[in-house]
Amino acid sequence: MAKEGILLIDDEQTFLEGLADALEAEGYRVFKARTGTEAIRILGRESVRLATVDVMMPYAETPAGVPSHRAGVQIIKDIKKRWPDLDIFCISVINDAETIRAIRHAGARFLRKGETPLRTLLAMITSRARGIAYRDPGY
Amino acid sequence: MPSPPDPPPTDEARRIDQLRREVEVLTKRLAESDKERVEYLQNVAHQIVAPLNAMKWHIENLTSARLGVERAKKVLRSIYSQATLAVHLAKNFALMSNLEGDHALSAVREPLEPVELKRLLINLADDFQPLGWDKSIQISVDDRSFVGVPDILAIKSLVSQVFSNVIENAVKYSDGDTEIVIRGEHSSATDMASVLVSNTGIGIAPGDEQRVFERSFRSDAAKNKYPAGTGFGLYIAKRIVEIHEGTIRAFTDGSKRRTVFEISLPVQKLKGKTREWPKKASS
Repeated sequence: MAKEGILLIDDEQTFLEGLADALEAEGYRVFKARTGTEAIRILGRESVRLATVDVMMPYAETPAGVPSHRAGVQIIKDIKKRWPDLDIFCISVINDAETIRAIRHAGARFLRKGETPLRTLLAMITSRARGIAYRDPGY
Repeated sequence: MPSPPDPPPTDEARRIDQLRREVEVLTKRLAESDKERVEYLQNVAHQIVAPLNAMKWHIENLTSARLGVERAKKVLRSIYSQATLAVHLAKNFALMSNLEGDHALSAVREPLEPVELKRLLINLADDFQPLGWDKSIQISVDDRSFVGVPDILAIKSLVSQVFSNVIENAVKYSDGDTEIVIRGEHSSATDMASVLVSNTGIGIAPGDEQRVFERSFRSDAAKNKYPAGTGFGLYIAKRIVEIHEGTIRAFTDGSKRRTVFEISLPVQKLKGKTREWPKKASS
């Protein structure tokens, strides 16, 4: 199986080192973007199977009307507009129903940061990459 | 048939109408403050959870036994730097609740003690260095500049948090591959000891030199670089410096990229004072 590309979108990449290490150990090619603008540039250039995105992060060149420091939802929307088939996992501490609804409505899967073990996230990413629906083992 | 015209409003009706409008305004303000509170709590949660989550994932990687020794060492260093960050943030949030009201300052029951600034700053620089390494930032303490700087009389845990906040701020907003330099000075004329922390990064926009110490103030450049901050760090630093009767100021050089924070604290002035703190300066 060809090594599939995973794009990690977060302004604080140091928080994602653990995930990047684990993905690389599983044989994925890992790309990193610190802003939405950078993410779109990478997606235009590389073959990426799945992306993870945070909510509280900057867009870089923020579209009008989007709070510069909570651009995650807009990033998901803009990526989905151009790459509708790309799987997106949104990993955030956000807990307000309205934002979570917006994330899901935009077509991303929402995972709560701090509550999702790395092995679960890896299993979910692997399932998606192979086109199999992930079944929660009910941990 | 047309309805009869409304009778002219009585004083009572006008008063009720005015009260109704006031209630509307207050309700709107309450909703706004509720929204701010929710956003604030989300920011706090984001900041605390991010390093904790990073630690959890690193630990899962360590236990998976796929890592070599060198890689494992690097992961342990990362866990240490994330833990430093989490402890630092938790201390700030705890202090914030104490510093919110003047009355709470008298609740600081810790004694004044002699604090050796060089030793304190070296320890803090060591503590934050792994965080700096994540961005190839070197934190250096200029030992020689501390020669002749006497110990200051202060509440050690509080002044330590002042320097932590300034150093963490410098790491956060510095460009990669730069150096943060910490220097000491002493003025015998005023009997003040000063610590200068300089870094190269987003800088401070002209006119914002005072505003960076305001509660919740965050510049656009800061928000863009690190979105989830609360704007508390420098405010807390200023409040602690004030209760020690010292000063803190920020300035930038001509390039606008190099920022210097100067914290000056009295050496002996607080002797004998343990309970009575000066009131919060009106801003």
